[in-house]
Formats: sequence, C-alpha cells, structure tokens
Amino acid sequence: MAAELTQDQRLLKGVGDDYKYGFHDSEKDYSFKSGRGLTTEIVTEISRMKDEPEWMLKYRLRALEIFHKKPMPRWGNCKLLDDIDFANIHYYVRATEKQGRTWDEVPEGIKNTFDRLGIPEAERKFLAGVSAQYESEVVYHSIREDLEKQGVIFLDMDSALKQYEDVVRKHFGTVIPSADNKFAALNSAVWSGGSFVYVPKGVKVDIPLQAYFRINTENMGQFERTLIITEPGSFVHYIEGCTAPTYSSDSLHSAVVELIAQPNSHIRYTTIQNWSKNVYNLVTKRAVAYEDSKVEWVDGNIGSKLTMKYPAIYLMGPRAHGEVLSIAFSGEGQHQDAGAKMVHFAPDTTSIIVSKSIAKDGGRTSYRGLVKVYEQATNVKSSVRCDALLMDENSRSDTYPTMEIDQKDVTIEHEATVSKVGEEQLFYLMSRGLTQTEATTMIVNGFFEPFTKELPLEYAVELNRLIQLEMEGSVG
Amino acid sequence: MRINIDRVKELTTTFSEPTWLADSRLEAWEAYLQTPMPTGRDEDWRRTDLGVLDLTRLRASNFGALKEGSTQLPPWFEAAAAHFPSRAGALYQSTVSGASVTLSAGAQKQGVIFCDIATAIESHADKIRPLLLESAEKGKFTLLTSALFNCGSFLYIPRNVQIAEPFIFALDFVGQDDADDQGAAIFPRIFVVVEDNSSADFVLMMASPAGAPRASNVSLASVLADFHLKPGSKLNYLEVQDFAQDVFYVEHLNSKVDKDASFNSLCVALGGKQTKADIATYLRGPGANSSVLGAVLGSDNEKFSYNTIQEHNSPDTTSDINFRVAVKDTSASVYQGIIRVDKIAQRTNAFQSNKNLLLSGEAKADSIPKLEILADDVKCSHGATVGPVDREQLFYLRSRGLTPMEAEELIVLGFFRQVFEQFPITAAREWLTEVVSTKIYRTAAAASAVLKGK
Repeated sequence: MAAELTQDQRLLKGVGDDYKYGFHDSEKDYSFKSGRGLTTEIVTEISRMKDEPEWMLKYRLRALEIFHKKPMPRWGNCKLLDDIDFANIHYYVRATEKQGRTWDEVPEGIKNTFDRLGIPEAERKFLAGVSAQYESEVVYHSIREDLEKQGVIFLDMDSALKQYEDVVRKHFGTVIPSADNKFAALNSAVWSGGSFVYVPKGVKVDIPLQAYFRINTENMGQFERTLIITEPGSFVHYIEGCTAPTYSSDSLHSAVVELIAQPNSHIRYTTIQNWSKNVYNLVTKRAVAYEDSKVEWVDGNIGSKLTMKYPAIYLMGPRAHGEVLSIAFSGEGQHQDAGAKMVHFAPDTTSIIVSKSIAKDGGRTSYRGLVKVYEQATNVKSSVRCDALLMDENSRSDTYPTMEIDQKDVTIEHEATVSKVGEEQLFYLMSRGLTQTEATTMIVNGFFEPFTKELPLEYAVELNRLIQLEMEGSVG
Repeated sequence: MRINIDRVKELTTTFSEPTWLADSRLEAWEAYLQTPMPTGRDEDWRRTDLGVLDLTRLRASNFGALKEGSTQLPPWFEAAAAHFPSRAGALYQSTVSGASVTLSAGAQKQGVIFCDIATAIESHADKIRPLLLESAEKGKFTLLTSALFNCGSFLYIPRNVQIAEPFIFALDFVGQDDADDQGAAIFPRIFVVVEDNSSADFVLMMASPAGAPRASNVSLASVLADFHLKPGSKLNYLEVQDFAQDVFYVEHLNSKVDKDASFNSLCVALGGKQTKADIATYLRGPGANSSVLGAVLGSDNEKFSYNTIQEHNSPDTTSDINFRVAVKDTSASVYQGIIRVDKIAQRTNAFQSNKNLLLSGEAKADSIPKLEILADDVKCSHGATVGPVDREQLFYLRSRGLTPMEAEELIVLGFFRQVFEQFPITAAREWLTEVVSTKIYRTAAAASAVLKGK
C-alpha cells in the first residue's frame, strides 16, 4: 500500500495539487490522430474510418454546416467561450484498433490507466456492465451475461450503428437535433464513441451500467454520443465518470446524450464529472419522458474549466415525472454554469429540481434553469430549490431561473438561497472539539447530502473524499 | 409634430431653454439614433412585444400652459386626490386640460421646491442642471426621453426637513387620433432629491380619463425618473399607472440610496397595452436599505414586463422585494428581478419574492428571479410561485355562500392588500384597495358595493 502511494506520488508530481487523475500516457502507439482543426475532409475521414453507412456521413456533413453557421452563444461565460480555439483541436484520436471484451485484450498502457482509475476493480464488485472510452473510441466493453440474455443491449455507439442500424437510425438525433445548438451540431458532425443502451419491455436492470470517459491527448476534443431507450415497464441506471490529464492548454468535451423513456419506464442517469481544470465541458443532455415514466438526472460537477450543462426533461405524456438533482463545486479558475430544464407538455406531469453549489478560491457557480408549462399541460406541479454556499470573498454565485407558465392550473414553486457557512453551525461543531477545517468539511458534506445519498455507496464515498480534498486549506 | 430632430429643436425654442440643455438634448438625440432599437434578441426585451409600437408614426404631444392654484381637474384625479386630503404639494399635467401646481405654505417656508420640469430649468438651474447632465442612462427609450422630455416634475427637500404630507404628481394622457391617424407620445422626466436627514412621500398618478376616445394606433408614454436619497434620508414612493389600453408604457426608475437612507416604493400597474418597466435601486452606503413592492393586475390583452434590479454596492445594506402579479383574460406578465451583490458588499441581506396568480386559462405569467453574488458574507434568497387561486381558500369562501367568482375576486383583493399593508404611506391603502377593486369588479360602482358590503 505504502509503495503504491509513493509510486502514485511520483507519477503525479507536478500535475496539480489535489487532482489525482492528472497524469497522461505516451501516445507513441496510437493508430490514428487527426490533424488540428475541423474540415469537411476530417469529418469524411472519421466516417470512412468507421465504415459508416452513407446516411450517417450525410448527417455529419449537414451538422458541420450548421455548426459553422451558428454563432457562439452570447450568454453564460462569453469570455471563456471565446477563448476556445476550434482550429487547435484534434477532433478524432484513435488509440487502438480493436475493442476488448476482457481487460486482457486492452493494450497494456490503456489498461494500466483504467486500473489506476479503479475501473476493472469496480466492475468486478458492483457493475452490471462497463464501457470505457479512451480518446475518441470505446476500448473496452462488457455486459453481464444474464442481462444480455434478457435482451438488454449495452454497446458503444459505433458498434450499435453497425449491429442495430435501424434502431439507431430511427432514434438518433430525434431528441436533440443537430440544429439544437452550436455544440450539439459540433457533436453531430464529429461524434465518436459513447453508449447505446436498449432495455426491452419489463426488464429491470437492478445494478448500474457504467461508462468511463478518459481524455489523454493535449488539445483533444471528445465527442461521445449516447442514446438510451427504455421500453415500457423497464428500468435502467446508467453512470458515467470522466477524467483527463492536466495540461497547460485546453481540451474540449462536447457530448450529446439522448434518453427516451417509453411509457411506465424509469431511467436514472448519474454523472460524476471530474475533468481536469483545462477541459471545456459543453454538453447537451435531454430526455423525453412518455406517460407514467420517470427520468432522473443525478449530476455532479466537480472538475473542468467551464461547464455549461443543463440536463433537460421533456415531459410528453400524462403523469410523467422528471427530477434533476445536481451539485456543483467550483474552485480556482473554474466556472460551473449548470442547471436544469423541465418542459411540461402533458397534463398531470410533475418535476423536481434540487441544485446545490459551492464556490471557493475565486470559483464561480451559476444555476441556470427553465420550467416551462405549455397550455395543454393542466395540473402540473413543479418545485425548484437552489442553494449556494460561498466559501470566501473572491468567489461568486449566480442564480438564473426562468419560469414560463402558459397554463392556469399549475403549482410552480422556486426558492433559492445564497449564503456562507453558518457561523452558528461552525461554532457548535468546534465547541464539540472539531477543528475549523473538519467542521467546515462536515457542513459541506451535509450540504451535499441530498445528492450523495442518491449515489451508489462507492460513489458517495469517493465524492466525499473528493470534496474533502477540494476543501483542504479552504479555511484558517 | 413627429419624433425627429426638429421636435428636439422646437422644444428648445418653445421653452427658451439654455444652451447647456439644448446641447444635452441634441447629444441624447444623437446617441438615440446611434442606439439600435431593442429586439426580441435582447434578454431584457425578449418578452416585450415591441412590434405593436411604430415610433415613426407617433406625434409628440404638447401640454397645456401651467396655472398657479387649482384648475379644472378630471374626475379620476379628484377621486384619487380625495384620499390625500392634506397635501404638501400637487402638480397636475395633462395633454387635454392644461396644468396646475400647488405647494403648501409650510413646505415652501422650509425651502422645499416642487414644480414642473420647465419651471425647474428656468428657476432652479443650479440644482437641476447637474442632475440632468449626470444621468448616464444609455437605453433606447431613456435616451429618447432625455432628448424629448416635455413634462415632468422636480421635488427637492433641503437638509433636515421632514414633510409628513405627500407630494402628488398627476399625469393625464390620452393618445387621441388626429387626422393622420397617428398615436401620441409623451416623455415625462422626473427628479426627486431628498437631502441629508430629510424625508418625504411622493405619489405619481398616471391615467387616461375614463371614457377617453381610444386611438386606433398605439401611443407611447416613456418615463425617466431619478431619485436621489442623500445620507440619512427617507423617501416613500407610490406609483399608480392606469393608462388606457392603447398606451405603450415604458418606465425607467433609478434610485440612488446613500448611507443610512431608506427607500420604500410601491408600483401599481393596472392598465396600458404593454408596460415595460425597469426599477433599479442602488444601495451605495452602509446602512442603506430599500423595499420595492409591486402590484400588477392585468386584464383583457394587457401585457406587463417588470424588471427589478437591486444593486448592493456597499457593505451592510439590506433590500427587500415583494412583487405580486395577477393576470386574467388573455393578459400576460413577465417578472424579471436581479439581486446583484458587489464584492465589497459584505453583510448584505437581500430578499426577493414574486408571486403570480393565474386567473384564466389563457393568461400567462413568467418569473425570472436572478441572483449574482460576489461577496461571501451575505444572506440572499428569492422565492417565486405561479399558480391559480388557492383551492382551500376558495372552498372556504364558497362554503360561506360566495359564488366561485365572488370568492376568487375577494382572494385577489386580499392578495394585493397584503402588499399595500407593507407600504408606509397608510393614507394610500384605502385608495389602492379602491382602484384595484374597480379593476377587479370592472366598474367603480360594483367595487364600492362589494367594499361596503363587507
């Protein structure tokens, strides 16, 4: 144990103080790395290398046009957005030619990386299926046999396009069309990897499926594409985690995630985003929930330089229910601009948003959200709760909620607070013998508890540890 | 005359204005031309229907000559003023029936100035000039008002003077058609200065006379008001807007609140085709505090867009917003509010509440309460609700024999009275209850029958 620690310490030397995933691997064995910049040629090349059907190539090229046409968003953090140098990014990087079904098939170097991130061990312990994406491609994929027998499909998106072309073609881009926003268009043009999950009627996947995303190259753009479909009466919990090396220049992560919850099904999608602080995380996530279905986004944002992410649920059928539970933690140089959107199209739909954020060391957290109730959606109930803690005078917290209500028969509530750690709470804990740091950390953990208690135990423990690391030296 | 540079020059000539003002008007006009018209793409205007307004077709209205003492006043003003039997001053300006001004002997003796804006420029240039030149508003409509203002008021309370009775400024505006079938436009410019340790109550009443002919084109009233609260001073401000349904109402209200000063305001909106109001409060010294209240009752196809800004620019400041909206028929309201706390503004305490009642299936209410907090030792919170009238309250009233309609009306009245009771000018409560009831019950007679009945 002690030896491992020293090895880790040696490896991590000089790569950021408390970010333990900041190391990077050699790229000498890579099979392909696109040049910098975004051109029709590169998009065509990606499609050709993946041996894709013609319609997908057309889809990509059309999206590329849209991307070029759409202006940069003029809200959020314009300054940081304008710093993105699209010409300096590698849009497609393939580290290995083949995908492993067992860890032994994965190239040694990449396997070591995932070992260090704890993935294979976690799989043995408590996951029903694992997907590991390294750069642009999924390098490892497995699913428990019994689930496979029940017809559950858990594949990387590229394989899904080959094996289930009809299903993919029918649903791909229906929830988030490429013209939705500039970054959705970018993803649609250069997407690679991501997961495809299909859960047949009545099947409940009782333990989570997990995807792990890793960026290794400097100035890399990762554009995974995920599509999850649950047939009536089924359930699935999907967890994703993300890390990247710490470089001095920036990488871009721009995913598109589409969820389709058919009647009476239930999807829970959990994200622990812990990119290094040089990654732009500009992600579009949206779910459609049909009658009596339930969709939950559990969204933790700890890492990245700038995150702009607003998981959305379109409540399309009567009695559909949506929940977004999110936490954001911003330290030095970070801006977490996250939130949620609930769009009520149908009667008797309900939604809950709970957002918790902490900013310290000059970090900035913003909650940006929307609750929209269309005229036909009677008897809607929606409640939004945002709480922010500010740890010092250099940090900043914003709240930008929007409520657009076109229907009378609704109950809409929104509440938000911003404050510092309560002096009385601190005083009480310190009078019981805790140091100020211990007391603050305990209060912060308590503040995040509504979130952590929704995570599988191992994740909750890991998150608490992360918060502890982030909190170190924050007081005193 | 149409809205153009000739109109700017005409104002200067008509009122024999000094060069500094003529220059300032022209400068504002130039800046107005340079400033693009807001569009639906601007966040602040995204929910305002500008399409109904055609600035090129408007005719700038003129106001009648000013008379000292009382003149023939319209019934709506007499009825309103009756609720304030003792007044420190009253200014009445009308596009129809002339103007008048009164100022109590007591206030006069203490050095209070209360007059229309033209008189202020003529007789109190030393005071009004820096205020006019300081105004740094750069919005399209505020610039237009700066260039074209032709009515308005100036209230000045010297140091250590407490005036208990209210000052009333009443604006009477009808957007009549003329031969060319154009809408009319007025540009009121309002200043209130309350010097150190003084206090005053100021009431702005705006209405179109009952039964006034309705123009087929939209008319414009664009108000620009600046309130200066010096250290230790106190100002209570009440505004009631009850224009006819052909008036596009734009308002920009800036209040600068210094150390230990206290600003209380209540804006009541009952009419107009489209209201677009920005109410900005700047808390600039320790101990400054503000309370901004709002009551919006929309009917027919009226649209309201209110934007409140609470800026905490200094430590130890407090602010409180309670903004209530009820919309019926096909009316719509958008409330946007922001609490901004500067980095130095430690120990800020800010609260914002926005409640919306939807009284019909076609009515709409949006709520966008925002927080931007750069200091850490703060308590800031906001809450917003949108929904129909509470079912339990309805049930209770109906079990007491009220019809559903009666019960709902009573609940709406109670909803607003909670706001009125928070406002320090107690004499106004009865009047406000009356005007809100008149709108709820459609006619003054029906309202008074209900009010007397209970």
